[in-house]
Amino acid sequence: MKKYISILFSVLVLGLTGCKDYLDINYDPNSPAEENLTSEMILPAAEMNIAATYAYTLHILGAYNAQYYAQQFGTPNYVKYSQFEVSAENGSGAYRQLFQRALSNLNTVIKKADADNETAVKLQATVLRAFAFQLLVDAFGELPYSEAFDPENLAPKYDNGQDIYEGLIKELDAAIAGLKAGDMVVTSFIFPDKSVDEWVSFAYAEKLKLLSRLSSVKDVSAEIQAIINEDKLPANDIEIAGCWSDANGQANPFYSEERATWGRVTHNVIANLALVGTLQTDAYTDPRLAAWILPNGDGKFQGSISGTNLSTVEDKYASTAAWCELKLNYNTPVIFISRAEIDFFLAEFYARKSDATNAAYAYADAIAASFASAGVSGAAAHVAQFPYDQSKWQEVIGLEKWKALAGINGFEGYTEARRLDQPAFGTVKASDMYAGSGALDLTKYEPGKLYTPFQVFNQVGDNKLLERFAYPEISTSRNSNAPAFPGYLEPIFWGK
Amino acid sequence: MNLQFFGGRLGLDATYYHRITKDQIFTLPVDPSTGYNTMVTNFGKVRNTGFELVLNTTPVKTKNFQWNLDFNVARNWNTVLELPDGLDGGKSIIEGFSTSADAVYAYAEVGKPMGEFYTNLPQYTEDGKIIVGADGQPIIGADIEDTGKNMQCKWTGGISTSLSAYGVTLSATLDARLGGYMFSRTKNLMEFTGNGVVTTYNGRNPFVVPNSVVEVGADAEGNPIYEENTTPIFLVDGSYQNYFDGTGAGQGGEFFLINRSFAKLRNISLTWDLPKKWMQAMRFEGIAITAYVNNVATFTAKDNYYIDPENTSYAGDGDLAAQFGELYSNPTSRQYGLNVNIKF
Repeated sequence: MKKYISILFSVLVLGLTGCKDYLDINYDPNSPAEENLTSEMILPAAEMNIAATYAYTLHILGAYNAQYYAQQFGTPNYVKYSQFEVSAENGSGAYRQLFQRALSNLNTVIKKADADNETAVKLQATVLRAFAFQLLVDAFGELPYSEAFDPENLAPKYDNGQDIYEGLIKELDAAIAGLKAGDMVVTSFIFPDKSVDEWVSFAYAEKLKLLSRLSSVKDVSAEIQAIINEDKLPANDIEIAGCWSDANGQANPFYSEERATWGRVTHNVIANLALVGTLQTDAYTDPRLAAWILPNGDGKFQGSISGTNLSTVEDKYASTAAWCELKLNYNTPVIFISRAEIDFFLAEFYARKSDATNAAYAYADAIAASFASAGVSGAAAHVAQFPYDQSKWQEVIGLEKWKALAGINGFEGYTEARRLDQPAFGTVKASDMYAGSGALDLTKYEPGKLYTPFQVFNQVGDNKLLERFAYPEISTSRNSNAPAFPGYLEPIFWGK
Repeated sequence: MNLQFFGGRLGLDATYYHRITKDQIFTLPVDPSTGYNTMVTNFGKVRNTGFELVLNTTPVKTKNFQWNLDFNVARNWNTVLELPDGLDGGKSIIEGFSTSADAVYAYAEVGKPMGEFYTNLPQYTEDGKIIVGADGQPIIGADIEDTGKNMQCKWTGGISTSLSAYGVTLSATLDARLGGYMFSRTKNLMEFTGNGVVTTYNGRNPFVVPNSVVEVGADAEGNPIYEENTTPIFLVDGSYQNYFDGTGAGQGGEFFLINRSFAKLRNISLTWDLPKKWMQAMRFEGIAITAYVNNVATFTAKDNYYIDPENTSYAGDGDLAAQFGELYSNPTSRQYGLNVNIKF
């Protein structure tokens, strides 16, 4: 009897103690426990989240709004974007990807790095965090920053864009200043060779990108001069390259969605008339054009118009073969910041100081870097064709930057087109070239100009760019402190 | 309260209730800037007050004939009293649906019934004219606004009756629900594809949005000046689809909210209990043969020719979210059947 009692007792004890861990439903046994997580596991994932958002989601939105892309004949997907409309729903995907995945993961890395005193890892995460937050400001203008990432506060206030930019610069400064010699970075897709110096150069490039935009609204020349004096800006494009392979989930994210056999069947994206008509004129063809787009069925470069998929056109253009798709491969690099952008920012810095000599050098360097990135020669001839001119620096730098960014990132191209107001709108509209049926007359296009799309979003109107995306509905519908939307024509702070 | 009269031929059952539900577990969608997309939390406090009345009658009863007639009616008042902690502004999203052009959300809002619909709405001048852009399309506001429509119904009720004579019983059930709105993705899609009846407006010929004005500038004080709009909407260039789908025929997301009232003749059946004396020969206790029709007819509100409002196929999580509306649900079907019941 005693034996049975003790067995019963031990079963009870075992049962009770065993249940304690077993029934703790607050931890998901299928996810790694927090104490087992390493920065090496999380940081590359955050990099890929940003790459997918920047090089696909935002890139598409930006490239249609910057008139790099138009909608393929008869296909529906992005017609609205080509009409300069980005609704509260359209921007929600990028907002969620960046906040819930990339930034959330980076915050975990920063917390761990602070706890373990890993200053190089903290720098890595801070650079990526600044890059991602800057994208959000450039898209939406205002958003939660100072009160973000607090699960106790479900209604974080929106900070204005300039405050966020200045906060990010402070974060970068602190991370650079806090870097201890000998600290190691963790491996990542951008810099697989684990070089601390390369991460420092990325930090300076990101800081230059933030300051250059700020320079539109305040004098930051001393801060930019200090970066130049440090002489640590990257010599090459900062990009994810070399890790892509031709398989689902492992290829360039834009290629995966637009071109891969496992992605969409419809090829939506074709080159815009503004891009082709500006880069290819009777007198001169920009060699980069052939590096970025594929010739049409006739072996020619031909751009289409924004604001329609031409489904009712009635001439030789009523065919997908009339148009040019993009030169896009599974291993096309995802560029975060290119050397050409850095040189354009430097050219702008010198131009603002009226230092025409250095501005002209940086301008030529930028064009050379863009040609090198595209893998073509002829940069010097191009600069001779489009020389630097201090008297209209914003126009020449803005237009050349718009061209260069066509091959780098559509969203950055759209952002700089909004900030520098280049290319400007010409006098010809898409409706002057196409009546809605019948034939197209594309010869009327004015090279180097944007044009009002055939149908344009009625809250944008004629001869204007969409200045911002609607606040993402995924935030406004859930956050009672989200402010009223200021309107699609209200510029981001750097465009005022 | 339960009352019976005339030997059970008239019965009345009345119930009044006042119930406060606290801390229901709920998956709350949150702003991703918190670092999370949803949060499992306790959902504040909700009050339900109402009554239910059931009246059972047997108007005719003879040796071989009986007629039963039963009525029931119920009314519920639902009020949100408190919301989860951490939400400012006394409003919490329950569920939503957004397409590229419009979005509809149901909120829990303190002092209102659960499920107040908010959406993007068109803009009007002070004298009630709809404002359109230069393209002739109504301008839909970028911020969501209260429609004043709610997903809670007001009244429910039903009638059931049966007539029996000589072992044959004919019975029928009808029930109804009045009040409340729901989101209909089916209607939304029909305006997108152009097979909704409203898209045949003006025979699909070009038309100018009725009673519309366009902003042409501003006066000295900066107030907008409006002029009558003369820009038509065309079928061929896609602006026709933009109008019906993108601007919700000039009503914004409210266009896709439909009245969820209905009356439904749910069932008619005819049963024949075979005479007892036949049973003895076959050694059975009883045999009943029933022919029935289920879902005989549904009468919907006059603006709802889209969907059976009981089709709340919305794939949200939890009971609350499921009341939001329907997402591409199939039409309900009418069923005919024959039953044979054999008792040993």
